[in-house]
This record gives sequence, C-alpha cells and structure tokens, in this order.
Amino acid sequence: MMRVEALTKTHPGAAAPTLREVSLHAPPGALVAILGKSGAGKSTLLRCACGLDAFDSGAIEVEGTRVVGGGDPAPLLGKVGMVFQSLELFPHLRVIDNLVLAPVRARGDDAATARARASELLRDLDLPDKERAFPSALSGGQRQRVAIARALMVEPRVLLYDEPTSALDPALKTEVRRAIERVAERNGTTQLVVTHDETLAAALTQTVFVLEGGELHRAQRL
Amino acid sequence: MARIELLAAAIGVLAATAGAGADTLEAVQARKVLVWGADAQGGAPFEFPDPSDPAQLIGFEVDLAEALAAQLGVGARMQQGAWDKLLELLARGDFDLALSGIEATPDKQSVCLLSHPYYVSPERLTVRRGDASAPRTLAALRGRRAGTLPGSAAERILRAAGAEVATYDGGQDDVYRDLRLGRTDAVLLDETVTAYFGAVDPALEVLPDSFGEVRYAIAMRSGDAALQRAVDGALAALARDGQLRAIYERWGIWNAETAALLGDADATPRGPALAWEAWRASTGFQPPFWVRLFSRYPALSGAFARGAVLTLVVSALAMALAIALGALLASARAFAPKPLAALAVFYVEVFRGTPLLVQLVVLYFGLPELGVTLSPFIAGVVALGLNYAATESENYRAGLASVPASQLDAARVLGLARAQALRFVVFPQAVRISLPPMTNDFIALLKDSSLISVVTLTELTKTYSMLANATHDHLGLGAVVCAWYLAVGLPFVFLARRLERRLGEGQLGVAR
Repeated sequence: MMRVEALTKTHPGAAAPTLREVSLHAPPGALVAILGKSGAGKSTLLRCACGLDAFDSGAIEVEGTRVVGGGDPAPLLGKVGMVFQSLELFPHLRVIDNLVLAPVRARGDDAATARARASELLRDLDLPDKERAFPSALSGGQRQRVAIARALMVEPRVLLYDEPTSALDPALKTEVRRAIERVAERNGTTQLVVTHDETLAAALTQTVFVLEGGELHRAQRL
Repeated sequence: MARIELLAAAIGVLAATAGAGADTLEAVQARKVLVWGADAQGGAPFEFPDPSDPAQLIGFEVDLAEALAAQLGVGARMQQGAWDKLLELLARGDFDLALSGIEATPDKQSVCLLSHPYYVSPERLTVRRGDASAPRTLAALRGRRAGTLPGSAAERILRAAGAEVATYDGGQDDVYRDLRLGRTDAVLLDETVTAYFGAVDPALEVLPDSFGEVRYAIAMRSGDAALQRAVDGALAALARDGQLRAIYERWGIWNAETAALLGDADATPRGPALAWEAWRASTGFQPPFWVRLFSRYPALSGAFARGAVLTLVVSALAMALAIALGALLASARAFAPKPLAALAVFYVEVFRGTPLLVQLVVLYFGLPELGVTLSPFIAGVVALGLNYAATESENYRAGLASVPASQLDAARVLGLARAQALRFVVFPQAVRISLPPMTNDFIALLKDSSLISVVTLTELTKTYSMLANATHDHLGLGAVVCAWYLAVGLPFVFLARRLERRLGEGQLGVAR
C-alpha cells in the first residue's frame, strides 16, 4: 500500500513547484499507471516516493511508515523499490551479485539463502542461465528484468518503475509488461508504473492517472 | 675499506651517529669507528670507486681518513653525502666529520669547526690544446664560457673575473667533457682535479700558472672542540712522520704549496705516483664492450642490486603512503564538509605545485630547525609519499567523478547505507578508472626516487653516476642501469594490468 497526500515539491532555485498537492492511493497489490509527458514531474514524484528527495509539504505513507514534508525521507529507502529508467545495474558485478548485494549487506541476510532466492527470482523472470553474466552481456529486455529482480530481492512493499519500456522495441516491451504482470500475480507487490506510453498503461491496468503541469488527476477512459 | 654503502645504512641505522650537541669524540671512541662524510661522485683523486674494481672505494682522502682514524685508535667508515650538502648533513649528525675536499674559507667557520688545512691546491686553468683563441689569463676570461664545480673557490674566481660560468652537478668528468666538446672555452679547478681529469687528456692543455689556491680542511660540528683538537693533533702527527707526504706522492698531488704548509723543505716527489698511474691506465683504456658485458657488469651486480633494493623499498613504501593519503584527500574533496574539502584542495595544490626536490630538502634539512630530525630513509619515503599523494588524490577524484551519481541513488534505494553504497558500488568502479594512471605514477615515482641521493642514500641512479664517473663508461653502464630500472618497474606494470583486467570484467570500453 502506498498513500501520497497533497505532496508539493519545489526544486531549489525553481520559481514554481514541480509537484502541486499530488495525492494518490494505491491499495495493497494494486497496479497503478501514471501517464505524463517528459518534464511533467514524473521522475520527481518517484524520487520523493522512494525516499531519495525531500519535499515541501504533504505526506507519503508506506505500510506504516509515514514521512511528512520538510522531514527526512530516508526512512523510505529500502522499503520502496525502484526500477530506474537507466536501470542502474552495477556494471562491475555479475547478475547474481547485483541481486544479493543489498539483501546481504543492508539486511544481513545469509549469503547462501540470498543466492537461492535470487536464483528462484531469475528463473521466474526467465533468466535462469544469466546468473554468472555481467550486465553488459545482456539484451535490453534482459537487463530490465534483472533490474526488476534486483529491486524485488529486498522485498519492497511498493515497487516503482520509471519509464520501464522507453528504450525498448515492441517485442521487448511485451517481455517487460509480462514481467510486471507476473510480479503482480506472484508477489502481490503494489506497483506504480510511470510512463509516457499510453498503450503500455492501458495494457497493464485500469487504474491510470495523468500527471500534467505538476498536478495529478484520474485519467479519462483511454 | 668503505664498501659502497649498504642497505642497512639506508634503513636508518646510520642515525646512530651522535647528533649535534653530544660529545662526538667520546661517541667515536665508544663506537670504535670514525664515520666520515664525503661524496664519492666527486671522483678522483678524493674518493671514488676503483675503475678496475668499482665495488671498491679508493682515493687520497680514503687513505687520509684511514690514517687519521688509526691515529685516533679507531676504524673508519665513509658515509655518502652530496658534496654541496655535506655541511648540512654534518650539522644534522649524519656523520662525525666531513672530509671531502672542503675548502677552508672564513665563511664556513660560522657554521662548523675546521681543522688545520691538510692540503693546499693551486687553481689551474685548462684549455683546449691548439685553441688559438683560448683564454690564458684571468683578464681574458671576461665574457668567455668557463666550466667549474658549483660552490668552489674556482667558481668565485671565475665570477670575479667576469666569466660566463657553467657549473656541473654531475662530476668532474662532465666539466672537462664540455671543454673538449667546445661548450666551454676553459675550465678552472683545483690542481687535484686537474691532474686527474684535465692533464690526462691529450686534447687538453693545463696552464702552469696558479690562478689562486684553496686549502682543504676537515669540517666538524660547532661545539666539537675536543674532536677538533684530536683531529688537529692527529694531522700534525701524520705530517711529522711523513705519512701525509707519502699519501700525496702516491696520488701524484705533492706540490710546493702543500710542502710549505706541512713544513717540508722538499717539494720534489721522491717516489712514483703509483695511484695516479694506475688511474690513468685504467681510464685511458676502456675494455671492449663484450669484455665489460661479461666481466665488469656482472661484477657490479652487487652494487646495482643494493641500489635497486633501496629504490624499490623506498618507492613501494612511498607509494603505499601516497595511496592511503591520496584516498583520504580525494574522499575529503568529494564527501567532507566544505572547510575540510578546501584544506584538501590546498594540500593538493601546494604539493603538486612545488618541486619534489624542494620538498625533500625542506623536510630533511629544514625540519631539524624545528627540532624534527628524520633519518634519510624516512625523509625520502615521506617526501615522495606526500608529493605523490597529491597526484593520487586527483586520480581517485577522476575515478569517483566517472561513476554516475545515479549508481549511488540506486544503491541507496536498495537500502544500502551511504558508506556501504560507496564501498561496494562506487569505489570498485572508481578504482578501475584510477588504476592505469596509478600504475603510471608508480613508475614515475620509481624514477623520481633518484632524488633521495640528495639525502645520502645511494639508490640506482646514484650508483650509476658514481660508477660511470669512475670508469668513464657512461653509455654501457647507462644501459645497465636502465635495465635495472625496467627490471624493478615492469613486474608492477604486469601485475597492474592483470588487476585491471580483473576489475574491468564485464565492462565494455573502447580500449582494454
């Protein structure tokens, strides 16, 4: 579950706020899409929602953790997962090590257990034979799925996607869409997908919002 | 005696010599060894590697030091030091006294005690044989290019005469070579030097006139009056029983001025100048290259190996210091609060913006003024380390800058603490970028370590200069010393390349 209440965010030095009183409720297990053109404030919303950026006012609540505007959003780090637009796989680590780094180092999980879980996740996402590969050796769609698997390893209650298909050709887009759907089915994770791709949004969910000029509103029927 | 200085000396054992203030004479007697400072690179006839057995140090001052020590009832050990730094090294306590053709001038008496002179050397002018326009008088030297050794009486005479003076740090050989090559028109130097470098060369002509004279004396620390009395007593005894005269005759430098100094009525040498003949014979005839390759160079392996070990140990320790401090500086610049970051910038600019040589000299000769006396070894390692830390920190900063900030974000969102994110995600990627320039720097440091010869350490380059000056074999020994440098440096290059490959696994780049 994620609740965003009247979130307003102004970038330092900017004249006008990037986000104006944005409110949003995503119930547990929900799949929500947010449509918006570039510059609409999509990435800013996600950075606030995952705990990277502070905001002026409003609040974000994730499964019992509540952060209010002006405070330190860091408590959200590790609770809200994010698949970055640029993925940000760690290029110096093999796929399996990309996956187990955070569980082992940040949560203190046993390495063997973490590896077993990582293997399982990779199998689920159709990447069974890529454990020992480096990210540079993977295709775009495979990288996207590794990024999803890595985010899922720390078992976030909410998973955010920033333009998950922006750089992919149509076949790979389908691959990624299926992966998102599978996460919804198997893990019951609440997922928020930010995209400018209306087709993807429509294919994923009925719950579609539009972010425009820093304001969020429910989409009309697509 | 005096084998070319051992590594043990380098490791700082020589700091055992008493520092200023203690009674040096008592220390010498307790130690049973007189440690005398001299520069073996100065060459013949003072103290220099024997051309026919370069591992052996010989010279009239070697003989003199041994005779002197014997008078005092102790042994003698030479300590290498750069000639123009001998008095500073003496003041630091690096040896008991300095005996290396030091001119007895009044200005020295304010910084040290001088013994009675033990030798008088006229200044002789050497010109190219058959050079019609050669300057043959002081007046003729005005505006002409004349070579000599830096800081010598000859230099002062030349400057007073209005000559355009060229001085050489490399040794006497260079002074006369430039005269032969026409880069200078005359050389003015002590008769001692002239006899061994000018007079032996058929292409050169030594004028018989005296252009002034210098007296050599032994320098001791101010306050060592007891040692001074003992040394003067010993010199007088050596003059009385003819030992001094015998030494000077053997080396072919007995002259009327010295005879007068020692109260000897007979200025004509009685015996043959055996040592001078031997020197002339060994330098006048260079063995063919293959003979040097198979007999002389292998025989010098020991001397070069000692130099190489010192070069390597100093460089490796300095690099370790540079890496640790460099990482700290780069981290301060990237992550510390502003005042600390500014301090790091200040450090980097100061240490990379000023010459390493200046830093080393300040550290070694300057710090004792503040009561901090570092051993030569420590001073060398610290100076190189502090200097290269500045370069290293810039390498690491470049490495850090090459990792996108979004990598740190991604790690943070996964729940890694900032320190963990830096350690596991950012640093490993940054190191990969920094490694090739680091390898570069280590090789540069290896070569820059030759500067530590300024603080009495005989590393590879110093070993080379001493041997090359003694044997006149600059080309062949040059190849040998280059081979040694490569032998020391290349293994690290290969290691670094392997590490690079391992760190670079999975990462694509234009060049691998």
